[in-house]
Amino acid sequence: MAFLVRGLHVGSVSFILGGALLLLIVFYLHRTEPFSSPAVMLKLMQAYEYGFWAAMGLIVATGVGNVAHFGEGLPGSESTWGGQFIVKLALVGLLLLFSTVRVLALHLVQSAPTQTQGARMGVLEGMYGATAVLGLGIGGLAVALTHF
Amino acid sequence: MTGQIPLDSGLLRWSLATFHASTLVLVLVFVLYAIGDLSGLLNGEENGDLGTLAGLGAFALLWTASLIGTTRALPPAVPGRITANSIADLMGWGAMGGAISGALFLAGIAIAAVPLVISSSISEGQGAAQVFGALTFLAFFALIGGFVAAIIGAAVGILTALLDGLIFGVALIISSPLPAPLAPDSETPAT
Repeated sequence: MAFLVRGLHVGSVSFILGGALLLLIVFYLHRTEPFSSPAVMLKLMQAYEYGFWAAMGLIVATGVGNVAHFGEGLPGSESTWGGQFIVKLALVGLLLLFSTVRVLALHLVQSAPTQTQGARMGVLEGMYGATAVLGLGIGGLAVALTHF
Repeated sequence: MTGQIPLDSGLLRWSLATFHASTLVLVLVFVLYAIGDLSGLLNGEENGDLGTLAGLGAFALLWTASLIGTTRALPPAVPGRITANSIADLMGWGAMGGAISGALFLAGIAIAAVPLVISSSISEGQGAAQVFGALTFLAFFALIGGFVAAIIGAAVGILTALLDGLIFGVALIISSPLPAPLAPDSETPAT
């Protein structure tokens, strides 16, 4: 069961990071040689968002399960490991807050008149880039917590 | 953006519900870990797989309750700017959504406890009358507890809605188009 919980946790993080990186590749290709309309690009972002939020819920739920698996052996908050864990929790909270801004911004752009959507794409692209950066930071910290 | 902004979106309901449920659990874990009470509460080694399943089930229940509460609370549209009623409206929606989520969560816990109460009573050799009595007590607890959970949920819902409003304001600002640059030959005001 612990292996399944850990697998779901890592798999969800992989989706968030991999999906954001894939979106960035699509944005870059679209900028160098446009192959789609802003409406299609927005649909792509919307599809990622559905998966992102499912993954975030799984990450939080399985994260608690991973901590519970420590039992009484969970290092205290005053330890080095504990300090890194608190930073990780804070970064996850930041990702949740930032992502809520992002999904609301996406909704607002999708609700805007079609002829104005193209001008607002740059902001959304930047936000998915920042999501990838945050995801990398949290993932790196998680590797450090697990293996060092 | 001026005029009414529609909020009737499946993605908004899905994402906000997850944000609310996840943030609540994250804050609880953060606070409990910082003060040193987390490992005792979770007690993973003693409860094993059953504790893991119960924990995942509890989060799934919280997620579902949050989704229903958020869906009921979200208005179909909001003004594209802050009005005199904005704060009061936010607090009202938050209180309603939070109360619904809180009551539903406790109702779910009570329903999940029914088979546990029945199996526990039977394993202790109790008869049908005692089992009925235990279930009646559970129902009474669920009624009182649901009322308390609704009040607590409403309070949390108000704080959450105010945070949502702040986030919405930030999203509105950053997603607004930049003003178009002046053409090179356009006249500038005389200085």
